Amino acid sequence: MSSNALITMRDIKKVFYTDEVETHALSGIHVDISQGEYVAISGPSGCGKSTLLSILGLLDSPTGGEYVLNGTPVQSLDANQRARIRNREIGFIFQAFNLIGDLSVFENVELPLTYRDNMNKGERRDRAMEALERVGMAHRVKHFPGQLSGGQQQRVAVARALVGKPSILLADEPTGNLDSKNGEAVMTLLDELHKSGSTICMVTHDMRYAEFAARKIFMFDGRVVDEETLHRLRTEEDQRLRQSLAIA
Amino acid sequence: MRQFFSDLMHAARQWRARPGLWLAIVVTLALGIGANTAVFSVINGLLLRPLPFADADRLVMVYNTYPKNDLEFAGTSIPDYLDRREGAPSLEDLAMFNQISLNLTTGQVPEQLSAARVTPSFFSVLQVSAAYGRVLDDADAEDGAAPVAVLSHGLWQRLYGGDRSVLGRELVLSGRNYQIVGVMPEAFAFPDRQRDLFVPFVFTAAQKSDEERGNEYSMSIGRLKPGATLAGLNAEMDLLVQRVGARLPDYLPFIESSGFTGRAEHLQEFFVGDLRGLLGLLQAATLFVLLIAAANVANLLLAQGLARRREFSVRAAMGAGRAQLFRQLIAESLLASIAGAGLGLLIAQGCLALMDGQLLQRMGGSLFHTAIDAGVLGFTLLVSVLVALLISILPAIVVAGPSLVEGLKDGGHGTTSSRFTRLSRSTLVVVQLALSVALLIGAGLMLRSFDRLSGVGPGFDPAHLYSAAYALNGDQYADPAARAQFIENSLNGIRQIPGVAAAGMISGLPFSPMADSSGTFAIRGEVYDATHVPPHAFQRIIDEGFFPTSRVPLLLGRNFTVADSADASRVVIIDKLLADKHFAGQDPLGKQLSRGGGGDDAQWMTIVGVVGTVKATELGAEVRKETMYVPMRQTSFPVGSLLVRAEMPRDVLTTKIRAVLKRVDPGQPIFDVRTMQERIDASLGPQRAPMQLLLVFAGVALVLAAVGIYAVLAFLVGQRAGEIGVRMAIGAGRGDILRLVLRQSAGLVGLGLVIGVVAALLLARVLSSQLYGISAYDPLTYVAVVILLAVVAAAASLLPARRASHIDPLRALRQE
Ligand SMILES: Nc1ncnc2c1ncn2[C@@H]1O[C@H](COP(=O)(O)OP(=O)(O)O)[C@@H](O)[C@H]1O
Ligand SMILES: [Mg+2]
Repeated sequence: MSSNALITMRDIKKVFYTDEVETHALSGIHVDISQGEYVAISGPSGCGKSTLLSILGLLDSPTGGEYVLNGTPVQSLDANQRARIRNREIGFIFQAFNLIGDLSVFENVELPLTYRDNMNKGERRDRAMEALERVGMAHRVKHFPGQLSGGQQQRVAVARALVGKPSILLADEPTGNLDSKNGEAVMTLLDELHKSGSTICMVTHDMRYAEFAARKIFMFDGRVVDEETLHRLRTEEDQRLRQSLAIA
Repeated sequence: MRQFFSDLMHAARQWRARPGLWLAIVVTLALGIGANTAVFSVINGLLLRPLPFADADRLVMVYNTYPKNDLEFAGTSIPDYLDRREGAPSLEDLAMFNQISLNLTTGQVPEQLSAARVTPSFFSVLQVSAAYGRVLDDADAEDGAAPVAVLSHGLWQRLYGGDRSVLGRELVLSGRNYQIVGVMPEAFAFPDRQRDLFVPFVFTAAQKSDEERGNEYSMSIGRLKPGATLAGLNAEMDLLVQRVGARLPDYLPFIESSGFTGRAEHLQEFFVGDLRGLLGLLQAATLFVLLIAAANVANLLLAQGLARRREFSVRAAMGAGRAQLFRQLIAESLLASIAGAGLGLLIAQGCLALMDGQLLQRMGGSLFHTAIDAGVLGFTLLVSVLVALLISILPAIVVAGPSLVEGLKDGGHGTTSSRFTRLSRSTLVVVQLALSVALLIGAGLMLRSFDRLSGVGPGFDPAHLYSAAYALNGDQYADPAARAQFIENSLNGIRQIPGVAAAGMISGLPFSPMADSSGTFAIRGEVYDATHVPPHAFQRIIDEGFFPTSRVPLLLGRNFTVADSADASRVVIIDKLLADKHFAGQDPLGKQLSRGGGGDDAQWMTIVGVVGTVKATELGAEVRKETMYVPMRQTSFPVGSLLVRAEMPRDVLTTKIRAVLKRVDPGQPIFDVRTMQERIDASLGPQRAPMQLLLVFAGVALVLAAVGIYAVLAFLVGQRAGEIGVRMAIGAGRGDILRLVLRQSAGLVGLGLVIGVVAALLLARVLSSQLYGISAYDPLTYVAVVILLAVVAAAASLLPARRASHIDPLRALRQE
């Protein structure tokens, strides 16, 4: 465990219980992320990437294991404590942008700051404008999300993730709803942010975009694996599938 | 038509698919429609439906009035009656009647029968005939004719078990033999159902003379000629009074100073005209309830409509025209509102049961009934059709509106129709709240007014104060001394009963039918002439026990004693109002009054005491007429009441009093045993029942408004679930989300409250005339209602808000 570890996860497990079916979405995950790292998580659909990200982002609690964020154990906090930490430490970027349609671009970006105590209006405005300038959307503050293109919306969403000066940005398939040109622009933006010091953890199943990250984590069936293992497992699975088709 | 029938069938299938929703809709509509039906059937029964007499719209009550003496309504005297019967061409016929009590001593316990003494024209005016035998004819009313009686159906059943051979038999009443000549039909009840029998009103020669003018102990009822008007009749009666004045110069000054004349009013108006305002108010209140209910239902249908856009889009794609889609929606609403009306009729029945007991009490419950008849059914049907149209409008716009194709394209999120739905549902909540505020403020004002009214002291202490009526009209009581002896013996016996704290007597008991016995009086030393006429006062005969028993306070001087006997010098006690009116700034004690006009034969009575003013007929009205009390040993009247203060059940007390009276005079009944509080309550009855209904309606409105707020917030929270998830993902705590939803609710509620208060302020003027002792702008009521609704709205918002604050922030990740 390195001394500047921002995130330390030990043996994180997540089990979903639905209609008497147990889904082991995560089966003993060990992950360390250091300050300033740019990590990409990839793997086949259903392998548990989003589940891992939601636990990283304190949207959900693990069924077991230890999770230390910024020196604080956070695996068993209540909903309100988690909300407070999300607000200060985590910036989310979603696949579907998730801007609030009734709020203007500025208000969307300002929103996380309104959930902080003791931050005055002027400070909020300065921080929001600063974030919007970093993503190049300062000229659209009065617009509403419905009046922007998908790429523009995602830039605004990035500004909203940045505005609270979080310890880490978490992005789940940030390019999933974008065409390749806009997708690349968002990736370039994240790269710039990384270069200026942000810690980023991004989920993507698109290997082209995973290349932007300095470090890649591969997952298969709820576990972290190395790239070769992932390749082998995938091939085996392909063969199994082919055989079962042939038998049928 | 066949198409519409198939629409109805389809609507019925909709119900089967979502029974809970449709049950809620039907029940909500039933509350609104039921309330309207109930109130309308009262209005119909009292004000719209003709009374149960032939050509009832031509029947008029005829009475004397003395507007300048503050006496709007007085009975009529025999000479008045004779003048009008002869000299008013607008009248086809006129009758006069009053009430007498007759003692029946054939049974175990002597019994008091209540007879109507009527002129034979009574039956021709009302156009009724006997069920068996005959009614009274002119010969029966000749002075000196043998006494005859027509029995009510009820008495005939009770005494003779319906035996028709009673015709021609004799019945001994108060010592006289009456021959039974007829039995009235069962349905006949006039002036009320309490009349046991009808006996002729015989005028003696003296009674027909001018001396009799002013003796107004009888009522007159007339029948207008076809085409004649009230105004015409009133003008004729004015003329008759003028002629009397011209003929009797002594009488003229009084006519002029009092404004005396005769007036006529339609019978129905006479009995229930004063309830018109209250009933109108009640109908308005139920209309509010209906609108609130309709807003709730429209709300449910809007949510439902949004969900059904896909169904309707598919129908449209298959070629259904817009008109057909509307018709489908209206069929559904109609089915719901007709079902609601059906259930509403049952609710109305319940409300009527509550009303009947109290509202109709003073009418003897006989002339009017408030059944649900064809007219009421028609009203209910009309209301439900209108409601069906009303609740179809908004859903129709949503599901069959301009952008029909939208429904096929997406799930309705963020589309114009969902925005429209959101806006209309919010508007409905605001409207609903505003209506509730206005209704609750109105109800609150009425309640406080009623509370003031009931809390008004009558000037005596009515708790545990019993009264029992007697009528000493047998031959053995012709002598005033014999009457005084009976009362004294009875009261002495009653005072011996353990548990009886005090007992006394009064003739002209407040809040009894005799309460308005009054007459002119003169003050010694005053000269009465054309410009200065004798004043008018309630005149009561009491014993020395009356003031201590009733606890009317003695303010000055002394109470009567046994020493104030027939041989002693004549004395009188006056109330504070008489003292203030006529002896302002002077000591009234020692001054002298006489009953009547103060002529040469006046018997002067010296004022020995002043007592508090007592309300005699209406709690809510300022007492404007003064009262004088005279001792029973110096003035006598055969009819009066015993007052007994005792803390014991009525039955026990009645039995004990009867036992005492049996010793005093076995043939003498007492009747109408009631507490004074009951009498006062009965006088409030016509206001109490509508009050109770109004409170029920206000409660229903409150519940409906709460349900409406809840439903709309739950809907809005559902619509915003994704957004709320996002907010939580970026760090909003539960408190933040709770505040977000409550703020949204507060916006709607605040707007509704403001509009409601403004509406109430605008409507307040209408209410003013129905309020007693409280301003229509009473700030306390307004503030209390606003707080009440704010609290209820907050409670209704809390559940959706809590649900919102428990939304899983993971939703943010799952939104694609
Ligand atoms: N809330 C849930 N309830 C039940 N099973 C779930 C839930 N969320 C995820 N899963 C299951 O957990 C596994 C991992 O899902 P997820 O993390 O979304 O995969 P990925 O993002 O890699 O496609 C899948 O099998 C998924 O079906
Ligand atoms: Mg995923």
